Formats: sequence, structure tokens, C-alpha cells
Amino acid sequence: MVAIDAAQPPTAAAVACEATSTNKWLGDGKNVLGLIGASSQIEFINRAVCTQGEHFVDSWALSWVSIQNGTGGPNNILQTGYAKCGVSSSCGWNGGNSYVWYYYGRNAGPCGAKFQTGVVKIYNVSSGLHDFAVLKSGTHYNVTVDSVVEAQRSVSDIETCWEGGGASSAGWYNEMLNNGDQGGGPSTNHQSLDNNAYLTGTGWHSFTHPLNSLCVNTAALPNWHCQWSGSYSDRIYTWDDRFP
Amino acid sequence: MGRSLSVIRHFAAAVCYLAAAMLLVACAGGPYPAGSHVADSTPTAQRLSYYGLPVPAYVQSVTITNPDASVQAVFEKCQIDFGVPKSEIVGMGMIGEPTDLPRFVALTGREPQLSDQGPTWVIQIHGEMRTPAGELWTDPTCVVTANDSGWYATGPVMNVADRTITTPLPATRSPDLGLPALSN
Repeated sequence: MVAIDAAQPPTAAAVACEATSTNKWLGDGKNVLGLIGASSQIEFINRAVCTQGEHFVDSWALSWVSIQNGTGGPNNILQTGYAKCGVSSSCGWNGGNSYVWYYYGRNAGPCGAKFQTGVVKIYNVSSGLHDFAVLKSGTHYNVTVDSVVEAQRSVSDIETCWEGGGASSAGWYNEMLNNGDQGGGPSTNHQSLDNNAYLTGTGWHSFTHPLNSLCVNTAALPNWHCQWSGSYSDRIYTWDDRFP
Repeated sequence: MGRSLSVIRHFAAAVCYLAAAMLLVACAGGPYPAGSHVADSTPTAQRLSYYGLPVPAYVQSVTITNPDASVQAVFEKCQIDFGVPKSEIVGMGMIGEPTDLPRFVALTGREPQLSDQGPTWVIQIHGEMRTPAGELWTDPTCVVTANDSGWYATGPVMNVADRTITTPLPATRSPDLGLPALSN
């Protein structure tokens, strides 16, 4: 059991945790031939995780960009973004503070047993817009935050170990574990995932959708909203109407 | 007469036990790991892992009070007490070279980490881990080598989207050595 930091005040507007937790996503993804990278400028919003009851449940509020390959399960993925984690979750509580992280995983296959790094903290974050990317560069796939390389995986980790030969889709998502976790920005300050783009051998390409079209909401929780916007329709706005 | 027989039986049993212990240590032995960790000189044949496997003499118990810098680094790389409670650790130790891993962990032999070099740490937990990729891992094992670190699915993994459960690939060999529990 992770000790609760007594100095960390509870979030006044937080929603009570529900009894069970499963991963839920709010955002969008794209299948791409020859995919070697993805990027997004993600706005930091100090989203709330749900308020624990007598029996702790897993909860988190993540925002991330990824490249992945669905062959053999969901674990062929390289992703980076923000994390705000519940007190008993599989990502670090970190005293209730948000942080930048990355995760690499591969399914069982050419490189043996199923493997994952876990949610690896890079550094704390508390404000601003930050550029996140995962992209192939020379002999590595780099994880960059604000254009600084923060982590690397070898090319073979992606193109050999992921059965199916490398990345086949990119994702731009908020992720929650519990329905009580805040799904996006408050109603008055929608969280943006902007300049969404993916990289192939021919360069970077904007990931666009028709203006105001809806994103994927795997939980179909009516409080969680997501739609496309921006001057170039390459921006996702997310919000949770339980938070004014 | 009966008392003498009892003493002899006890003596014989003790000799047999000692011989068995020495044999077990010899069988469980292996190349001593490089670095500052030296062979444990105390009798260790009685040490069994959480999973009932003999713990070789050269794998020392990790003390959780005032752990040294190398142990703290391993804890950090395996997110211990940063998502993974220390209380879930059922075995931990520095085992030697990565090539020794299959004796402790059920691996296929194709894992790139087996080709790494240098001191190798292993942490086994009895518990569950959720991943942002949407899986729930039961009883995974963290391996830390010079150039990589992470968790292997040594137990079942559930895909939370469709509730399907996958089990680990067949191992190249069954592990025959175990890791000691943490000590205070």
C-alpha cells in the first residue's frame, strides 16, 4: 500500500471512484502504412483522479501520443505524455503531482516473452503546452518532450520485436481507468491535443478530421466529450462536464 | 539401548542433512556475479524461494532498511513504491550475468536482454499491474541489466477490452533456482 501524502489536499471537485476500473480512452487513432512516428502538442490540465472510498481502486488520468501495432494484443506500443495517478495505481502516485512519462511494450513473439517498461517517470510537470513525439531517428526510436530526447528504444525493439514488422497505427488519447477520473479539461477550459501529426518515410503528415466531428469514446461516458477543431482541423478538444 | 539408537539415528540424520545441504549448494551454485557482491558464506541450503526453489549461495538477500545505491537504482527502474508496492515483492536478487536468467525466470531464450552484459537484477512480485496499453498483468518479473530494464509477463495477462487471458510462452527451460525474500 502506498502511503498517502498528508500534505496533499484532496481535489475539491473530484468525483468519487466507482467500484471497478478498466482502461477507457477518449481521443482518436489512425492506421498508417510505413508509420515511423507520431507527435502532438498537448495542453497540461491538472485533471483530477477519482476520490477513493474505503476500498482502493486503480485510477489515473493520462494524456498521450503513441505508435503501436495491434498484432497479438494491445501491448506493442511506444507512448509518451502526462500522467496523474491514483494513490494505489500501477503508475506512481508521485505525491499527487502530475508528471511526464513514457512506456514501451511488446507482445510475446519474435523477442520472446511479453515485456513492458512500466510507466517510467521523466519529470514533474505543472503547466503549459508541451510537444510530445515518438519517432524513428537513425538506429533508435526516440521519445522526445519539447524536442529533447528523453528515452530511446532500439529500432529492432519496434521493427523486429513487434510482430507484423513495426508500427501500423498512431494514437492521440486521454486515458482513464475509473469513471470517476476526469476525462479532459473542465467545461470552461477544454484540453487541447494540437498539431497532431504522424511520420512516414515521406515526412510529417497532419492528422485531420472534419471540424467538430466527434472522437472515439470507448467508455461512452456521457460526461466525457471530445471533438475535432483548430484552424487546420488537426486539434482534438477534450472536456469533462462534471468539472465547470 | 533404545536411547543409544535414538542418538545414533539423530546423528545419522544430521549427517545426511548436512551432506544433502552441501550437495544442494553445489548443484545450485554457479558463476559468482561480478561487482562488489561476494559469495554468502552462511549455510544457504535451507533457503527456498517463494516458489519453493533453492536459492543459491551467491544470491544475497536484499536489506530494505538502508538499501545501498545499487538496490535503490533497481527499485527505481522497476517502479518499486512508485506504482509497484514493495510489499508485493516475493523475491529479489542480483543473479550474475544475463545468460543466467533462464535458471531463475521462465523465458523463451529469444529475449534481447539475454544478450546484455554485466550484473543482472531480478524482482519477482506477487500482485497485479495495469498498463496504459489496456492489460492487467499478474505476477510479473522485473529484470534490470546494464542497458535495459522492464517487466516480463511470467504470469497470466488479461486484455481488459475483451477480457481474454494469455499465458506466457513456453520457456526454454524450467527455472531451477529461486530468489530470496527481502530482509529487514
